[in-house]
This record gives sequence, structure tokens and C-alpha cells, in this order.
Amino acid sequence: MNVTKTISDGKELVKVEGRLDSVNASQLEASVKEGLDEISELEFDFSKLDYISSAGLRILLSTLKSLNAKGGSMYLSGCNDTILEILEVTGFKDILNIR
Amino acid sequence: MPKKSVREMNFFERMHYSLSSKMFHTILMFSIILSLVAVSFGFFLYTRAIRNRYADKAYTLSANVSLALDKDLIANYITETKKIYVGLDQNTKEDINSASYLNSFKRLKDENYDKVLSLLEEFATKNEADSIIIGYGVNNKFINIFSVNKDGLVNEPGFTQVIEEEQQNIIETLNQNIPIFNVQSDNFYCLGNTFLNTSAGSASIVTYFSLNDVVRLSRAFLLQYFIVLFVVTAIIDYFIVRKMKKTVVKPIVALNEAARDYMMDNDYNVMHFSNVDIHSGDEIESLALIMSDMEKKIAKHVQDIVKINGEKEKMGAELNVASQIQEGMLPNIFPAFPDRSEFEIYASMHTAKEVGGDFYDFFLIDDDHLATVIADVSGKGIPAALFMMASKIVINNLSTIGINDPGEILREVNNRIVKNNPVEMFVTVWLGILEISTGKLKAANAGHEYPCLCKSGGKYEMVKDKHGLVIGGIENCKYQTYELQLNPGDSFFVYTDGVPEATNAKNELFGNERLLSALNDDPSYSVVELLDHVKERVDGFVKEAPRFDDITMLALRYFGKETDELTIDANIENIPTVTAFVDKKLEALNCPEKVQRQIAIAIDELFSNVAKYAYRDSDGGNITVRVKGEENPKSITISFIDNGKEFNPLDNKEPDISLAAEDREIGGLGIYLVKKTMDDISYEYVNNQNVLTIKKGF
Repeated sequence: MNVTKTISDGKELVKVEGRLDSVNASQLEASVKEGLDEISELEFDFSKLDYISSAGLRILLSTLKSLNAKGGSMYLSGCNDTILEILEVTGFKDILNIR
Repeated sequence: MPKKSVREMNFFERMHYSLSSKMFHTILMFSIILSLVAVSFGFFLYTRAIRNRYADKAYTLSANVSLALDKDLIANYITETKKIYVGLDQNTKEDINSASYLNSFKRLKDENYDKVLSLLEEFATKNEADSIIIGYGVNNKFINIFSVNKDGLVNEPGFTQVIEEEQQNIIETLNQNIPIFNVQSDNFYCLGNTFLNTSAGSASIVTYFSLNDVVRLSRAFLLQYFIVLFVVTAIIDYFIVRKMKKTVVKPIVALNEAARDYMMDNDYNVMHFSNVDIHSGDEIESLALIMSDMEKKIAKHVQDIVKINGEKEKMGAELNVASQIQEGMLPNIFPAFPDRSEFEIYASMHTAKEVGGDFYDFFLIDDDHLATVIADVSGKGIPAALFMMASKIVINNLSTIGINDPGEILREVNNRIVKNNPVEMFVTVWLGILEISTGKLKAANAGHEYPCLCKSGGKYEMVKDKHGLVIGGIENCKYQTYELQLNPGDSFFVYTDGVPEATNAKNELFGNERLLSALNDDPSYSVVELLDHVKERVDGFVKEAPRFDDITMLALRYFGKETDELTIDANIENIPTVTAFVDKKLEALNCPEKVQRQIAIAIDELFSNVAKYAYRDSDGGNITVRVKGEENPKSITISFIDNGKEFNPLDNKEPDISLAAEDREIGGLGIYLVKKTMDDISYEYVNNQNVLTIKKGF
């Protein structure tokens, strides 16, 4: 997995490449948590992400919760079929903003 | 000669054609001919003797008469007769022996006339002559002057006999003074003549003897002679036949019977000709002795044949055992490896003779390497079978020592066989070693037919591999090892030249084209069905034509290592290893990318679950991941096995996915995700192990 983080005007763009699974979830988590307090809007660019496991979903959920708590917002973009299906199956589609 | 065989004759026909009958008839015919010849010859001799006798008698009589007569007296009568004859008028002269003609000569009858007649009569009576005539010839006429007959009748003087043309011999008799013996229309007679020369010219004294009585008597005699001769020869014939019957026919009949008994008897050791008792000392005894010797010789010969047959039977039985040993040497229990699911293998051999020179072989070198061999020894029969056994053992031995390089193995096999090959036989070999886990097939070809390879979903094609020299040719030959990759579903087929070179009645070869066509007839065939089908096609092609070569085939289909196991430390760091391990399997099954991702997620969820919880109360432990891929239909089954505390993750409450984000719990989501994306998930606790299994088809 490869994570690229870019911040501009209080908006953070996190580009995740490869696979997001139990092994590397903590790496992403650490990356996202860092400076989360200073932003109000976060976008995950999943266009280069192969798949996501429940460990990834956990990060999405906790990040969403943190942002929701301070009135921020979170988006997902570039999800492939596999990821969309996972989000659908797990009901995450209902609580996430997917572009 | 009879028209039918003696076998078809009835009793009477046999009698008719029997030797005795033939002999009897022949001798009878001979005696008849002999009698006829004897009678004819006797008749000829007798007739000649009679003729000569009477000719002498006639001549002597006429000569005696001439001496007894008074010449002057006769001369007077001649003179007088001639006068009368000359004095006859023309009419009377032509009207011979008429009353006037004879009357003219009446005056010859004077007192001496009767005296002469009496004298002649006395001569005739004493000599038993039928008549004596004195006269003279004028042209073709003979004029009688004196004539007496035995019975007293006389011709008048002047009586004239006309001698016809055909009676020239009579004229000659009269002219030349020789006797004749003559036959005139069944009248047998003899004439004698003597000229009596007088002053008035010569007169003929003719004596006449009738031979009719003599001839009649001789005829009667000849008939009697013939009858007696015939009867005597017939009696002799009978005795000859009786004798011959005893000396010739009887021994032949005895031989005949012996021959018949010999023919009827099935036991050659019982002597028949040797018991025939013939001591004739002739060719028949010799024949009997020869037959007896022949019978003994045949009996001896039959004994030899029986002995040879016994040995042949023994040989046949031994050959049968040899054939069983040979068959037993080849792996022939199928399925050959019931506990191996990575491949199926089948081979068959149909030998043209009891024992053959072809062979196939396959054996596991180790758990991951399967050697397959197909070979064809030059020549046929027992020598080829012996060479085949040696070759098979050497190949087997050298293949199992761990070289695992077919080219190298064949090089070594060749070197060993060349050293111990006094009769310079050779064997063509194709040796393939399959790495079962990867499907990598290493092979080398020593002068053998091209192997056929079929990629999954494709068709069988010949692999034009590089051929080395046949095994057993020359030392230190090199054999190139080449590699073929077998993927699950791929198969290969190897065979001996008996398949493409099977020949039908039209002398056409089965050929590679037909072989490939047979192999590709039905892609769904198992290897067993495939080999049976190829054999059927070959049989259907060859039909009743004779078979010369063994037909040997081997086919292997590779399924890949269906069940793969990976045992690894239960640490989430090892998830990529497990995923890669499973991915390799999925790629081999041509798994779609999406499913591959779903499975990767499932692995992540389940492995991390175990890694996190299973060994929580201990110092950690292993997890075994067992993967089983299936081709038809395509699916994969993955089991995660750990030795941790019994725990069924499926018992956990399913997460409520309808809650708002703030109320959501992340726990149980992983299992839930797996349940949703996989076709099946199950848990069991066996042998103190948690086994969680998922299955996904694609």
C-alpha cells in the first residue's frame, strides 16, 4: 500500500494505492489521524486501490466519526467495483459520501 | 480300367476287378489266342503235307500210266482224233460236246479202245484216283481221247473241256508237266500230268484226285484239336490262377488288410505290417518287410513328435508365465495413484506376440516427482522381452537416484546398456519427469516417437522434440533435456510406433494424422477413455489385417496440486505470503480479478482474526492454510486451521448495518463481509483444531 497525503485550504486528499488490509491499516490510520484536527474536509482517492478489508473500513468509520463530531465532511472517490460492493454489502454506502 | 474308385464298388464289381479275375481272364484270352495260332499253324502244315503227297501221287500215277501204254496204239488214236477234229465242219466244231460233235468221234471206239480203258480203269482203282484222262490240248480246249472215272463213268471220246482264263494253272499243268493242287468253289482236287510222246505228237495223261474227303476229315480233326487244346489250357489256367492266388493275391490281400488296420488304428505303437506272415521270397515279401520297417520308423517318428509337442507345450506354458511376469513388471493397477489428485495417468500395452518388446512405466521418484517412460525395443519375441526387462530396470533404477534430469538419466542408462549389449539390440525411450507441484515436465527423447501435448481447452499436437540416438547404440551419447509446462487441465500422450504404423489390408498406415484426429475426437475423455478410444480407432482401421507390432500407449492429465497447504506463524505480517500463495492457485485456475480480490479480502479478514484472537492466551502459534482448487466447475476452497482455543466466529452477532455512523460498531464486520462475498463459509472443531472453511466459485 502506498499513501499520498496532500493538504490545501483545510482540505485533505488521501490517495491510497494497492491493497488496504489488516497488515497496513494501522499505517493508513496513523497517516490519517495525524493532523485530522486541523482539517474539516477529507477525501479518500481510491482510484488506485485494489480492495479494502474490514480493517480499512474501521479506519473509514473512525475517521468519519471524528469528522462528523466536529462538523467536518468525508468523501470517497474512484472506488472500483470490488470496493463499491464491499461498501454496499457492509451498509457503508449509506453512511459515506461516495463520488 | 474301372470308372469308379475301388472304395465305391459293390461286392460283384470288386470280384470283377479283382486280381484273380484279371489274371484268369488274361490267361484265358492267352490260351484262346494260343490255340487259334496252333490250330492255324497245324492246318497250314497239314494242308501242305497233303498237297505234296497227292501231287506226288498224281504225278507218279500219270508217269506210270505213260509207261504202261502202247505208244503206237495211242499214236493211232491221236492221229485219228486229230483227223476227225480237223475234218469237223465249222458249225459242229463250235457246238462243243453236242450230239453231232460227239458222234463224229464215235468211230474211235474200236476193239482196242476198251482195252485201253480197262487198263486205265485198273490203274485208277488201284491208285484210288478219281479219274485218268488221255487227251491233248488245242488252244484253250482239251480234247479227251480216253477217260475213266473211279465210279466207272466215262466221257465219250472227243469230249472237249474248255479251260477258262482263270484256270491258267491247269493249262500250265498240262503244258509243263507239273502237278497242281487246286481248289475250285469248295472243290479240292489235285491234278497230275505226263506227256506221252508218240509219232503222232504228244498226248497228256492227266490224273485227277479229289481231296474233298481229306479236307473234310482234316477240318473235323482241327475242330477237335482246337476244343481239346482250349479245354486243356483252361484247366491249366485254373491251376495257374489258383497257384497265383496263393503266392501273389493272398499276400497282397494280407498287406491290404494290414494297411487298412493301420489306417483305422489311432495308436501308432501297435504294429500291423510286422505281423503279416509272408515268406514268398519275392518282391511281395520285400514289400511287406519294407512296410514293416516303415511302420516302425513312423512309430518312432510319432514318438519324437509327441515328445517335441510336449516340449513345445512346456515352452508355451513357460512363455505364458514369462508373459505374466512381463505384464506384472509394468504398473497395471489403475487408478495407479488413488491418493494423488494432481494428475491422472493410464497406460496400456497390447502385444502382438506372447511377449513383447514395448514397455511403459511410471513411478514416483519422490513425493513431488513422477517419472513416465515409454519405450520400444528393436525386434520382437523373447529376445526383445529380455532386453526390455533389462532396459526397464536400468531406467527405473537410474531415475530414482535423484538426478531428476531425463537427459542425464538417459545418458547413464545408455552407457550401462551399451556395455552389456552383445547382440547389439537397442531401445527407443521417451522419459518424462513431472514436477507435480508446478506442472513442470522435463523430458528427453532417445529416438522415440514425438509426444503429443494438449493444452487445457485446446487440441492434441505433436511436440517436435529433439531426438537423441537410440539407447544401446554407442557410448556417451548425449540426450537433451527439454521442458514443457503443464497447467491444470493439460495432458500429454506418448505411444510406440505400433500405433502410427498399424497397417490395414490395403497396406495403408494408421499414421500421425489419424492418431491426432483420434486423440481430438472428444476433449471430455478421461485418460482411460482416451486410450481405449485410440485403440478402438486403430482396431477399426486395421480390421482383419494381421498385426505385427505391439501397441503401447500412456497418457497423463495434469490437474495441478489441488490441495496446497501453507503453515505459517499466525502473524498478520504473513498475510501477503498467504495471499500470494492462494493467488498462485487462483491464477492457475484463471480466476477473474474481482473474485481474486474478494478472496484476498476474505483471507485478510479470517487470517487477521486468527492472528488477533486464537493465540491470545498463549505465546502464539501457527496457522495452516489449505487451498483446494477445482477445475470443473471452477471453484476454490480455503481452510484456515489453528490450534488455538475453540472459537466459532460464525456464532458472533451480525453487525447492524443500518445504524448511523456514530452508532456503528466495527466488530464482526469482517466475518460478515466474508459471509456476504463467499459462496459458503463453515466452521468445525476437530482434533483440537479450529477449522474455518470458505468456498468460492467463479
